[in-house]
Amino acid sequence: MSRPLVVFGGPSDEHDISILTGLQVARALGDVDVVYWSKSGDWHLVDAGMEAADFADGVPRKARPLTFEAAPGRGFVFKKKPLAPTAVVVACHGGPGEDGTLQGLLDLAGHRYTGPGQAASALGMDKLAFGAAMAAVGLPTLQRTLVGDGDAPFDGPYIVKPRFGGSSIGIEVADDWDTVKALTRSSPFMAQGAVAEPYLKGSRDLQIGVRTHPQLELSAIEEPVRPEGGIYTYDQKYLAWGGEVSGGRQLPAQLDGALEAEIRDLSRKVAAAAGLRGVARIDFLEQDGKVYVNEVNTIPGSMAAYLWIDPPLSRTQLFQDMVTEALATPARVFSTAGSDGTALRNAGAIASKLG
Amino acid sequence: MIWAVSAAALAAGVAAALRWLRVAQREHYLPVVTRFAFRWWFSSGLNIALVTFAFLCDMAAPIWGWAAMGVAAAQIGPIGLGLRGRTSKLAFTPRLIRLAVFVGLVFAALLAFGIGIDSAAPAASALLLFPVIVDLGLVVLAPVERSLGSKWVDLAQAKLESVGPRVVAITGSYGKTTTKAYTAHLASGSFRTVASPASFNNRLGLARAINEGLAPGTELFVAEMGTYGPGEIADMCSWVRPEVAAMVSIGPVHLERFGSEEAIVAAKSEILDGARVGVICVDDPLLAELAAKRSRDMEIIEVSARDRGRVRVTEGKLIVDGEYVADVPPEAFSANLAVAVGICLALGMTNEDVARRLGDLPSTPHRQTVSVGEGGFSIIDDTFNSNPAGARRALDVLAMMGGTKAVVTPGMVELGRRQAEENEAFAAAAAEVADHIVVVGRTNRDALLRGAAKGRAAVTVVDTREQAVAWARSNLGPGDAILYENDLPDHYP
Repeated sequence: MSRPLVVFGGPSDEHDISILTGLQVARALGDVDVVYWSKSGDWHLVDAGMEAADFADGVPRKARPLTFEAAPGRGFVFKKKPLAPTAVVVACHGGPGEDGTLQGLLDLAGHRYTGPGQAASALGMDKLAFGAAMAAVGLPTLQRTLVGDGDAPFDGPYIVKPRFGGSSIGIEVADDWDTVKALTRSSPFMAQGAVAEPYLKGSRDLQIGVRTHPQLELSAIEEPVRPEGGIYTYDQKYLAWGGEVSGGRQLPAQLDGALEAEIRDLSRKVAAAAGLRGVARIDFLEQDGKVYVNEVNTIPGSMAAYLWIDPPLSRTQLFQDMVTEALATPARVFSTAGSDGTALRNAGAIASKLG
Repeated sequence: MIWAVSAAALAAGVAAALRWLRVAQREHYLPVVTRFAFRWWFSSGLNIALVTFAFLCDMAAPIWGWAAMGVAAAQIGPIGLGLRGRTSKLAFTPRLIRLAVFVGLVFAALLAFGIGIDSAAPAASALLLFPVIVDLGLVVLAPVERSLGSKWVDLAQAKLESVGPRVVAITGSYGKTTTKAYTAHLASGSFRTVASPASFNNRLGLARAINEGLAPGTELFVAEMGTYGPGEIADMCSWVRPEVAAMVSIGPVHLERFGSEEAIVAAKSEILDGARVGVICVDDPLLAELAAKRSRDMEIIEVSARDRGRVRVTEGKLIVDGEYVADVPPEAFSANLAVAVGICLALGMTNEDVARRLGDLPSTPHRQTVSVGEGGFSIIDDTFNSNPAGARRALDVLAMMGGTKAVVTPGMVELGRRQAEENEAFAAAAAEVADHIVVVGRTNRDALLRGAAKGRAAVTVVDTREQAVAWARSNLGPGDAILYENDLPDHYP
């Protein structure tokens, strides 16, 4: 009676949005175990039929405690017995559920899971490393720099972002470099580092969904409509949009053929360079016909299901394909090649190596 | 006879249990169920007739056993108090089940005793006194519940120690939740902040907020602390250990449990003991007095919505140490914002840090939020409120509106001996501002009608909130405005 397991929540800024994604996935897949990861980091087995409001005040009343053991064949353990899911659908956004921490844990437990592996997950959440990786394979990106004590590396205005993190929380626009540095020092979201890049006035955002199973496929391209202020905030992006599904966007975006073709070509290259797996969303910036790879969201809200309109793809199909992919190949394979004991047999006493 | 009577009493007992256990749950498991029973049985002519009949039957039961059937039959009442509830359903939590088991055992013992002595009298009295049995259970189980809760408190304390955030605690008779939301919003520009959810302001609620909500890496925890009696806040502070403690307001909320406003100040000021800095809104004379007294032994930041104290929010401006800092959004609650800013300063934030976050202060749901409903008329939602000062402010908001104006209210509760007087005064003030007053329910009906009679407004009386909403739909149109002032859960008559 093994079945897939959906995990959502976690100690992340996007904890609440993750619950919405997770419940959607659980409801669409049907026969699944559902694991809620609390803000404080504890695991709970919950009922698949729960509603979002059940989580509004914290852990739902009927939740049953789970533990996690990072050893092969263990993983999620309920009343001393491993749950042994066929695959784990990771529906976490931001924080340790999306940045590779959870993925590494699942690798150690031998669980198959959806989405990218630990390393690609970590890359997707590190804006400095991701930008550098894209530049390294020759993809167009904006100049992106680590904010430190030094002088301005290029002229403003700047857009400043927390180096790590997947949402729009903590993003600021500043005209001069001193303000950038001050913002970085005072914002709790930038305590782990901040990156700055040129703020492109009059640019627009263009976003596209990517999935990697049964084969690499791209969704329609959307253009989120920005508010007056320039960038959209977390509230506008998620709360006002009702979980990223309604209003405030143009889908499909009105693009000329060449631009659309370029974005599609770039998206395939990003997918390969960033090691994407499952469903991801790539965000581009476009100004005067020039396109830049901006960010990747390796586990997008609602799994970016709303983007799959052409050809139409049902949510159930989208999520099921993710599960099938997880079952087909592990995200990570450990290798012990070369460790056949030869080095140990020939090593002699440890004491002799200390001399 | 005895078996038939006992069976009927058992069935009636189940109904009574559902009713009175729900009241116990809604009233935070405080032994006030008997008081509510009085309110309900004397809330209408029908209920008075029912309880009188039940009482007479109970008197007759020792002589003529079948009379106990009358007491059982009377358990269809009090009419109006539902078995499961509409606004707030009975929730079968472990705590409720423990109480139900205790109450059930006592009730069953009385029935068995009656069967043993072949008398219907114990069964009849047990039914009539059912609310007393529930209160007895609440008193007897209180220490048990306390020690069961200690497990969660210990866990929470350990979690607080391992995550190690700075802690701010906020109390007050009203405005706590808004102040907490402002504080969390302002401070989250400088610290990774977690605030306790609105209703989690007692010992176990805070423990749960910490156990489930305190993410690793949290730098600031903002705790709201409510109190129903002396010692409660001191107990919470003993393990939450706030560094900054704030007192927002004092008012006659829960006055019937405390006795006097001085007793409320004393209970709430427990929050200051052990804190490094106290932030006190000195607009209330009692709090001004407290601030002056406590500033001798600790750092106190006095704040105000008037012209005094270090932090002032007046006439749409934030002023710190006599200097203008920033404009304040017009819909902000001045006194609450002043306290929140005081807390931020106590935490070491600068005026600039505060000013940067002032623009998009969150609004508290159901606290004087204005919206336009389907009917095209404006709705001022102040259903969260239950205090006289807030109610007057909501009337001010209504007064600024055009068109026909209406006030829907069940009145305010838990104001002790001042309840009738305060409701009468509110209704009188409302009758000057509004064209219509809709009095909901029976809890404060007499006082509200007395007050409303002093003004020019037309008065309508309804039994439920739903009827009031229906009244608004058929009597108001585009351009009109309605104020929903307070909302009583349905365990109030």
